[in-house]
Amino acid sequence: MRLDIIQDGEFAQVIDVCGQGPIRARLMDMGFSRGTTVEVIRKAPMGGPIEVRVKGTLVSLRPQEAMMVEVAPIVRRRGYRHRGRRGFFRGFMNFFENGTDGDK
Amino acid sequence: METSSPSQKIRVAVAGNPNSGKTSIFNALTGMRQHVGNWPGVTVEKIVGHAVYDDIDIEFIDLPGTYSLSPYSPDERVARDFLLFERPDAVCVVVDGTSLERSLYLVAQIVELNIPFVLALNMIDIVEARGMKIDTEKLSALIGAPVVPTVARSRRGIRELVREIIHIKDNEYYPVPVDYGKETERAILNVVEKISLAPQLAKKCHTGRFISAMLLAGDPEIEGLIYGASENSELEAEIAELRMKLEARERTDGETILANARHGWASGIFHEVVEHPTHDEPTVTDKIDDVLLHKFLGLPIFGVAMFLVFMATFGLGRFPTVWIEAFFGWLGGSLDGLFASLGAPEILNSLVVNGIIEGVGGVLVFLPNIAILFFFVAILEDSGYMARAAFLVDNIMHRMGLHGKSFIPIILGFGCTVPAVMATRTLENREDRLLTILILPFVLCSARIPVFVLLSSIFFARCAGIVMFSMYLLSILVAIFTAKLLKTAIFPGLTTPFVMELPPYHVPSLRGILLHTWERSWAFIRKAGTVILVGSVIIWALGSMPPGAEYASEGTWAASIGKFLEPLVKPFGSNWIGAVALLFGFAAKEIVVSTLTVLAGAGDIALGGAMREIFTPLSAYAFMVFTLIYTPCIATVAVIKKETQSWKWTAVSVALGLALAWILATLVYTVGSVLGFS
Ligand SMILES: Nc1nc2c(ncn2[C@@H]2O[C@H](COP(=O)(O)OP(=O)(O)O)[C@@H](O)[C@H]2O)c(=O)[nH]1
Ligand SMILES: [Mg+2]
Repeated sequence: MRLDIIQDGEFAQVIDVCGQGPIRARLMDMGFSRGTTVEVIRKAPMGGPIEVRVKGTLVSLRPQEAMMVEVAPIVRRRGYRHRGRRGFFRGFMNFFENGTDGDK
Repeated sequence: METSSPSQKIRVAVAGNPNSGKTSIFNALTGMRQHVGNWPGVTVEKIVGHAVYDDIDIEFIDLPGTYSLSPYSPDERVARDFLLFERPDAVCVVVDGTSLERSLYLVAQIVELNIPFVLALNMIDIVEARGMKIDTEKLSALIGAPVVPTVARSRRGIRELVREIIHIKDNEYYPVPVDYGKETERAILNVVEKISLAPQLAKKCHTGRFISAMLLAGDPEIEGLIYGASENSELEAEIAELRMKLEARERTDGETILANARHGWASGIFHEVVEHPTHDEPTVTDKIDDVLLHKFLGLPIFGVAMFLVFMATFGLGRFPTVWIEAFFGWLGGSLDGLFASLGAPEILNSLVVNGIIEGVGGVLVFLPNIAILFFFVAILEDSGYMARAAFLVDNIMHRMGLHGKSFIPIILGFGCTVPAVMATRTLENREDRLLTILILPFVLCSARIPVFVLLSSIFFARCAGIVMFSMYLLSILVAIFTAKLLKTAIFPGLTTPFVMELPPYHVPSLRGILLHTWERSWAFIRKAGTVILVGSVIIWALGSMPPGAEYASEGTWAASIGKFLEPLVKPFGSNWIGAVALLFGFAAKEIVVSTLTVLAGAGDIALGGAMREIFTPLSAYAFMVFTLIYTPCIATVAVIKKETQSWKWTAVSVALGLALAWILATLVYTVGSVLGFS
């Protein structure tokens, strides 16, 4: 299965990065490597870029590039966006105190 | 701490992933003693700073951010080349603790370079706040280098970092390189040996292991470098054979073998040293993104943000702009008086007042707008929102053949083309940058507005608004059209991939933002200022020669040139006065207005009547079209030269503007005449 058809909020595991050339190397440098778990966070409307969490960092890529990443879906795990939205404001105090994204 | 003459000098490179806090660490290490320049041949900022610690003079170099040592953009190439060929005495690798696993991939490559390094484990405050624990001692043992936890913005750990850097040579650390597995290791050893047999290569290959690994991965640049320098043509074939054998045995290509091994190394170390909290709750960044990148709200929020930035830039900027204008007006007036009372020659008076003060003042008037704009751009960049903006508009921009990151420069272009061109630096790919720079002059900047206001109020009094709107519309259409045209004609097949990190949000630090704003504004003052000075003196000279002629009157060289150029402007209905105005408009678009009024000989009375002698409504409109499309001003030309580092592309930009302007103005005039307008 290719990464671009994974639904938002779903997890998947990278099997391989296909294709060749600098884009492929770039994807591997950004953390897409065999065995890595990725979380598809959101997709911009109308075929826009996809946002993915990989190795604790957020990466956005167009569907064309996501197509190069061969993945196996992980059905057991679901992203935070599938759960309720309770506690939305938790962590913001900390954010403004530290000036940065700390969450507890 | 400073002593009169340090006994020792060392060079330390600050390297790491983009947004890991390199610049913040660098600032903490060097204070304000920095120098911003450019790396030779590319428009990548080179920032060098000095500090003296313990009798050692340390030169720090803030390298551009990079994800790996296989460069992908000019920035990354600069970082790689510096580490590989300039051999700093030590490297300070800055790692964002919250993305430790991904960062260790770069560390894996730096270990192989065989340069002593210290790992600054930055953003440790966030790591702690997230309830993550990193065992730094274990990390240090596993990579074989000192590890210092730091918080760059509060200077936590900076002293320890300095101490480790100073003592790096005496410390007994043995970096532990990645183990690629038996077969690959054997192949690497083989290549190392082959290379060391070629003596002319030995010099280049102080990092034999890294070079050999890259050769096995088929890295085209390293290949070109090694095989190009080698007189031994068999070397290439031998290594190719080694690589084929290895790839056959491992059933994948060399690049993947190495990347997988490095990721394995990184992930192994990561799981050894990090204790994770068990819950995986959304981070604050996730929550902010849920709003700012919302399916339906994302774009409107972005639109409002842009609108506010724009209003602030030109609203707030208006006041200092008026002061600067008043100041130069006062300066010109009083110098005029002074010269008169001293009995200075008229020509000197005119040079200073009409040439230098008007010219330089005309540019400095933009300074408040530019500084405020850069202030907001720095906030957007430092907070992490800029990458989100690119994410939001990439889809639309991609359809026009542009990149998501081209959008911000285009928005800035409606204010002033000069900062807009400078803002294209966020585009990594050179072709994308060039494309964006080439269409920016077509975006209607605010300096052109006075021309349109003057002419439309005289000729289209009843529908001035519609005429103005048509100018904006035309500007956008021409920009899109040129983007498409250039994309197919000059950069065919260019599809820059859009793989971009969305960094975690930060509350930007005021100091960092002011520093950014200052550096960029100063660059504008210096560069554009010098060119403008020369340009305005030239225009002044044309407008006042031969001696004795009244400034900008019919007897001057400028007028002769205008008459010479008249055949060129005839097709769109202008005469020599229009030609001179357009010529002078190269200095700055506002000059078009002043030239028209001066040459029309109107004074202030009956301006409308004087204009009607030069233009008909139709030819006035065609003249506006020409003004809209040709090169905005000489400062733009200067900044395009600076940013592209190429006279060729600067010339292309000017030629393209002139050609399109002429064609469209003529088209409008001809079609208008045929349709019976006049
Ligand atoms: N909380 C926190 N924020 C930091 C730290 N170091 C840097 N930052 C912030 O991270 C952002 C990126 O830093 P910068 O130095 O520009 O990163 P660079 O791209 O590697 O040069 C800025 O907003 C900094 O204020 C740190 O140790 N802790
Ligand atoms: Mg930086």
